[in-house]
Amino acid sequence: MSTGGGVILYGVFRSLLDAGMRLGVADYLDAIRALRLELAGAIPGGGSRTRDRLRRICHILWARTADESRLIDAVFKAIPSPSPDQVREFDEAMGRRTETSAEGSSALALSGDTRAVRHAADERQERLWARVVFEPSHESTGIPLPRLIQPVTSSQRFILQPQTEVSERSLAVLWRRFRKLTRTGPKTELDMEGTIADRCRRGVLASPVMRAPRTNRARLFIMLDASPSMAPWQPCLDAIARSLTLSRLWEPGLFYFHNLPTPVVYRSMAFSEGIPIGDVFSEYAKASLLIVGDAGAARGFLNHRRVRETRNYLDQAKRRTRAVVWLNPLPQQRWVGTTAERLARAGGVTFLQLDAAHLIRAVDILRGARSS
Amino acid sequence: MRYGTFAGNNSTFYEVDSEVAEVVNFAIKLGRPILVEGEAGCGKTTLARAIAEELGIRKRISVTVKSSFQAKDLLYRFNALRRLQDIQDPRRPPDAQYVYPYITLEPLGEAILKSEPAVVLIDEIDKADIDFPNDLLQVLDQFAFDIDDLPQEEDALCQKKREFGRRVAGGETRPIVVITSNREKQLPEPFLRRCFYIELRFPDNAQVLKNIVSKNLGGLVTEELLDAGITRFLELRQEMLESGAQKPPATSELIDWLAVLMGEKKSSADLQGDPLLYWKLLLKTMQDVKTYAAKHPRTLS
Repeated sequence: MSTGGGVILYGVFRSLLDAGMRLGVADYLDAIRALRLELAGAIPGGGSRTRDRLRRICHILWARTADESRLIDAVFKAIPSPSPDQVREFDEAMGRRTETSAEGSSALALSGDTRAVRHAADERQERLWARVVFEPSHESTGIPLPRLIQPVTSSQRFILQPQTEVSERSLAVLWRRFRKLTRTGPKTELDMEGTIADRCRRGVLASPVMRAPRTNRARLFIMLDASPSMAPWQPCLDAIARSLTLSRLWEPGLFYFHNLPTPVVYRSMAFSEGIPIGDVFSEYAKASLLIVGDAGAARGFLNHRRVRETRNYLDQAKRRTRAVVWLNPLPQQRWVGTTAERLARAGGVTFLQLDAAHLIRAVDILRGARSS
Repeated sequence: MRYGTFAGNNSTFYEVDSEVAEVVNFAIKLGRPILVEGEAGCGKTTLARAIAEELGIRKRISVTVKSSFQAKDLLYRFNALRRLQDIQDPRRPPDAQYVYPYITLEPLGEAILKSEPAVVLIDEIDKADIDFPNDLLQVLDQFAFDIDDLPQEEDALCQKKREFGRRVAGGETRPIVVITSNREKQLPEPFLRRCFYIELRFPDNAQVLKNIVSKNLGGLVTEELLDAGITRFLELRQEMLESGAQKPPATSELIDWLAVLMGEKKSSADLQGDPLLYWKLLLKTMQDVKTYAAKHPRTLS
């Protein structure tokens, strides 16, 4: 690795970790093995120890989506070529380690890396990091927008990757928690206990006793706020909608509303196919209701009328459903002084922040756990 | 034993570009599974066969995943019913009191144990339950697994009689594992991380298509029919893509279609009409057939 491939690889690996890519030590070790195999000529197409070649290896080993490929490209552009000193120090550390340890124990080589690459780490600390703040709501109108608090030189790039609060898969797993098994449908399952009891009673074995299989009859319907103030959480709402198909719930319902889920909710995000809320409650009688909305917290206002109307709606919802939980995508400290805070304090319905930990709590409440 | 190098175009029926071949080589050398995704009919499943042929691997194992599959179904099976029958039989075999005679290793389990060069194809992994890939992850990571149904106390006995114990672990040589997915379900992140990822695209390059077809249909197609056929096929594919087809025709449809044209002894002149001759062979869904028919009024006559 006399051209500094190792140093660059380590730098790229750290940068990708910083950028939030989920790589582990195993991935890094694989890259080192791949690099060695290639230098040894075990993999064709290599041999040339260029940066492009290294980038290609990173693509093959680490990139799983188009976004990640772009990220790797961007990182490669940003990483400077190491100085000869750095390369020498790195190679020495690598060489010494591999001499003292048995062949192939690259875990040791990895710890040897750290000293040599400290340069890169120091350099990174000196670099200016961008910090983003949200304008306080009372200084602006509408949704607070992220703003840089430090000026940034124009040559710096930022790689923003959209991430939902909770992934589609973990949502699907979460919905699996939400179940209530009841026996319904045709009797296709052998009732072992019933058969034994029957035999004991009659003394002879007549036909076996059958029973219906247990199926998940827990019913859930979800109402998502699709008004413009919820636009930043659009990917998250999409994930919720998609996760329902993986959920194995029995006829889950999905509706959209604009600020307030009454008097009409909609089947589509574009607010078409409106259904009167009364009809929805009749269809999902005694089901559990999950509402996701900012409840006025995104714009940061207190609207007494909205509080009153939402309270009325929630009272109605509580009467006609098994349990109601309202998830708010904004962190709890942002509720202060807004409609959301008033609603949360009023009690009756549980208001939770939308994140992985609170979602578990929410599902437990929807299943019938006490909400306090 | 070490595997050779996969070039991508040395097999008798398959051709992929060098980038895909490169990923395959890395996966083989580093002992990681290969996950193949892509449009239906682009040769996801055939890739495994091509690897086996090019590298001269005789042992090929192919498992088509079913929705009821659990990860252990790929590894071993415990024949409980047979054991129950045996134990009730007065002339039962002496070993019936044990579990081990009733355990059989499934193809993947066998390949791990034997540790000989093999290509294992796990087809359509997305059809299984969403826990399936996660359960398989551990196995593919270490190429070792436990037979949970075998009681601990029979471990040594089984080891003696069946050459495997409760823990089945392979040796140096790992089988090449190719997994295909149609993206019907999202695969878990850790699983994706452990696999090397290949997205097979339809080769829009006419020359590559020509090579693939000639490899599959032998020299039986005339050059003239081949050129005309591919040109007309690409036109139709483009047209279907533009109208948002559910399943645009891909390589496998092209090969079938040309095979039919050949069998019917058609010439390139027959392909010039509208609609395209035997166009129905190229479209696989009702919706696509309707779309094409609407654009080409003479299909009705």
